[in-house]
Amino acid sequence: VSEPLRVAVLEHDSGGAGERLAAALAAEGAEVALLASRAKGGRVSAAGVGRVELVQPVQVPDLPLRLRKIGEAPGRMPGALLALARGRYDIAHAFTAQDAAVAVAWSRLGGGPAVFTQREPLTRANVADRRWRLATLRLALERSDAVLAPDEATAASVRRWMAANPEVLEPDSAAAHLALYAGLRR
Amino acid sequence: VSEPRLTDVVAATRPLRLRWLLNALEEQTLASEEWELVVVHGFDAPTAARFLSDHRLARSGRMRAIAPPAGGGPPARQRNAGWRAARAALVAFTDDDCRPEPDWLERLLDRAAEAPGAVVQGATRPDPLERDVFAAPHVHTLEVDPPGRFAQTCNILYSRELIERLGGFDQRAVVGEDIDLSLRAQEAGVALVGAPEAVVSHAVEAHTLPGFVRRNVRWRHLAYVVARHPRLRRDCALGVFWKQSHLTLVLALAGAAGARRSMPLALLALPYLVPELVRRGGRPVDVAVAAAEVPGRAVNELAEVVAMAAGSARYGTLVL
Repeated sequence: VSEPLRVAVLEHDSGGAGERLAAALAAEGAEVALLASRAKGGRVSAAGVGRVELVQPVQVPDLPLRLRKIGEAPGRMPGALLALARGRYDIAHAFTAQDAAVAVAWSRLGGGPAVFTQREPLTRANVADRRWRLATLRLALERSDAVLAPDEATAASVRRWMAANPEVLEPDSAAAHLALYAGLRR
Repeated sequence: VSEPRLTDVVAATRPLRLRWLLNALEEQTLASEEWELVVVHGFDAPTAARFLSDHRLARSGRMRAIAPPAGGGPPARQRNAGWRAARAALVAFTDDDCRPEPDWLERLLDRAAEAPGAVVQGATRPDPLERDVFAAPHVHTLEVDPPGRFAQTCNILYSRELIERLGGFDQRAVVGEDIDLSLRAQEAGVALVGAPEAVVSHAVEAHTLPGFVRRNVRWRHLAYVVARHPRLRRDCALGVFWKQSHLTLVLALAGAAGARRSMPLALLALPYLVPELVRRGGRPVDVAVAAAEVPGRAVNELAEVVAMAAGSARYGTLVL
């Protein structure tokens, strides 16, 4: 009997596409960990997530960085990288550019493939609106092993603003994701 | 095919920013048959294919991309290739790090109709969509209240006939070729008029200190333009310092050096330090942040002064 695939889903906040994917993957038999923080204004809930392990990475204080408009929650990045390194995952799937940067770093440090889903449409107003924003977005799109979008509208926005061509995969379609992961691991 | 009224020429070095510019130009309110776009670039074939060829402006035939055989080269060479390829009688220039407002071309044409033959300069402002980037200590952007003294090519319109008569951009000018062209136009009796309604937003980009210094030392070549146009000294502090901050920094350094012998000389640092300390605002936290940034910013300013001294030696004129 082969070992189940171990997937780390990184999603900064809760209740979004990452949580849906995590639940769908778990239902298909994958071992899934949802790396989500108790972000300000958000509460991570394991309800309805099924056999998903909830991991809350350590968050280092980052108020000075955020006041200087650096990143979205840069203090979460070291903890997320540490959690990935400890978890013996086969795949890291990120749903924000910043988390994708962490997944890429983990991949380069000997981890498995990194997958990035741009979960909401890009606009001119959100591609370079903070420091690090454009740099992390470019890194996520150019260095991830696979780039996805949940729908055609989001994929079109990525083509328009970043000249990248994501594959459209709905977060609920676990089978398609598992096939993608298998292809990346070969 | 009828000729367009206006050709927009872009000298491109940054493919992603160029893509964003193309997206903004796509939204121009000027009728599509009235303008065309010429992009001059030195991108390799895969980059050009990814960022340019599949864009709707290219597919519709409104954009032509020119890739000189020897690469893009300096901006003056790129822009010369661009206006020479123009089919329209009026040529508007913008840069790949700019985002024109949708009515930009219309407003430029309106002003050109009001002042026939004049060089028309639009307004440039830091992109409000990138305002948060100002939190970085080393930021490049541009703000122009037209008509300005430098007539930057990020937002300006010439008649093709005038550029041709002037011989185009001076390709020996590594930087400041836009200033040079506008000064030659004014010396030929052509007016420079402002079109404050024709607005372009300029990228706000943060740099590391080494990156910022590397970027800014190329301004040493400005001495070439100053040597050609001594009237530029009228805008220099004491007729020598390109920026006021260059003068105040030199004074501050002199004051710091002299303070060991005579303490009052330390006061010479105030004209540099005071504007630096309040540049983010008067709240204690703003002053504290600004104070922390002073050393890095001073290093950059000093590097600029040293670079311009080197440029002065090369081009035989003193501008710091």
